[in-house]
Amino acid sequence: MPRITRRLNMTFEDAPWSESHGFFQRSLGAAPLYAIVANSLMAKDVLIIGSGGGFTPKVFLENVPSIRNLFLVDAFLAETGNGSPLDITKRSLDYPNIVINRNKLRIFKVLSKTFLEEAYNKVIFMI
Amino acid sequence: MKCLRAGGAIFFHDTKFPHITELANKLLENKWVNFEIGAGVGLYTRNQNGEIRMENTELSQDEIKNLYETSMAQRWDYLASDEFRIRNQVIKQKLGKYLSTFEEISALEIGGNPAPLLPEILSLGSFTELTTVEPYISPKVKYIFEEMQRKGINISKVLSEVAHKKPNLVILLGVDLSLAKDFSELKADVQTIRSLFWKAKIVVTETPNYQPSKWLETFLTQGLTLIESEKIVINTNEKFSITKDIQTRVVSIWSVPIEKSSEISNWNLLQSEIIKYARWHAMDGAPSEMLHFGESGYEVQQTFSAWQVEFDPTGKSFVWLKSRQLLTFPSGKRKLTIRFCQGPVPIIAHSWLFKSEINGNEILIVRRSFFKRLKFEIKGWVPSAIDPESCDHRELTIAVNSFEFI
Repeated sequence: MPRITRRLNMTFEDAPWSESHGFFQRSLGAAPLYAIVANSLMAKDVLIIGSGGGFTPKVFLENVPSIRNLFLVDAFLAETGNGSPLDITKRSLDYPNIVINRNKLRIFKVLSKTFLEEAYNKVIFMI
Repeated sequence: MKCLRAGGAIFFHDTKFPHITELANKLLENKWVNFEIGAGVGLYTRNQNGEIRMENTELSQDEIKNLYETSMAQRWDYLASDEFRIRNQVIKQKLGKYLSTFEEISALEIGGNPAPLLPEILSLGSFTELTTVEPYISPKVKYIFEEMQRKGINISKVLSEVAHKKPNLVILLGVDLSLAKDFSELKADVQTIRSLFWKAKIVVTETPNYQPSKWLETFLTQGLTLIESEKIVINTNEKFSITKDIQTRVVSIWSVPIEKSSEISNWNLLQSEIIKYARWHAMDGAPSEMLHFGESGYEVQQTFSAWQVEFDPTGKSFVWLKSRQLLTFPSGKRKLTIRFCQGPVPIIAHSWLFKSEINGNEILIVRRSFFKRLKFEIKGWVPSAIDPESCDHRELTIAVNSFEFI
């Protein structure tokens, strides 16, 4: 079951673009949907294209225990204020509610041949 | 898509954009679910035993180009709404008295999509040549541009096609060149626009209260004389999820001095503004040496996870902080003073990582540990000194006059 509650607002709301997933004010947006679908599939490998400020990676890491590999692909433009997947790896201090297992994270800068070769046949869940 | 396993699922984002919906329908043969959440979420699942259906999902280069152009063109569709059309009405009202002094007018509009001004001001004078530069036209307003073409208005796709022209009226509404593919293209476009401005007699600009646009306008209009300006505040909070700064627009009319010797006189100084602009939009090839200088929005975003920098009428800047701030102390600095705009005193929760003291509208944060990166939360929204009613639509921001590391 998804563990998303308003208690975690601080964690998720701070991620840039969380509101574009409907997560603002009193709404949890699409977060429960992501978590429920991933849990029902018992997703082991998840690919997030354009993981940006880290809203969806956090939803999966926190709520889908079956995940073995979380593939993140982003253009890494943190300086524009959009955040980048690298931030997620640094944020355990800032988000005490989330214990990030760094071993699960596989971060790629752009969609590349190497990336596709690695992800091919593994990924069952994309966002 | 081909690498999606049987039994797997795909979520799509931004499905509220019609071209995304259209593309998803095409690729997934309408076998997907669309949820009205945020900017739109689509869900597709592949049957456990189903055949691999998507044999022809490869998009041709033309289809990719078309998709990109459509999405670019639709980004600004809200500008064509009734609420935003007030911009064109205000400008038309103001321009009348200036254009009546011209015997013949040749006009050029740059980037009018989706609400071009040219067709609305045709009655204001005797126009000899009319041109518009528009790389992208939204499908919603295609009919407007077709009508313009029928009326004899030339439509160019790129600025370089019109660089040789000498229009006496140049219109640039919603000042923005963020679509330039890299820094060198941005510089070339900026130079072209500046030279077009200098060849004109009257220049009309309009900017949102959005710092990159303001930098660009300042740069482009350097040396021109501001003859009229008006601030328009458009209230569309309930209709569009756009921020206050985008709803605050400034219309300006400039006259071009006859003596043009000072044109591009201080190129180096002015260039630093384009660099800031390019960095803000993360354009390829933008020089980075300017990053540590000046109170640019970029620098502020590096320091705080602030999301907007604005300037008040006196030119003093203030920053919209998020109520929950991630902060990185520069090397050797242990204290940070933040001076907030007028309003209730915010509260910062204590942490073992730092202590905070409040003195009037000032807050002092002292980091205790060796951690340079810390997070603090400010409780209580502080209204802006400029506009006490101003508030971000997410109610997350707090206005700060200045900050200083000690």
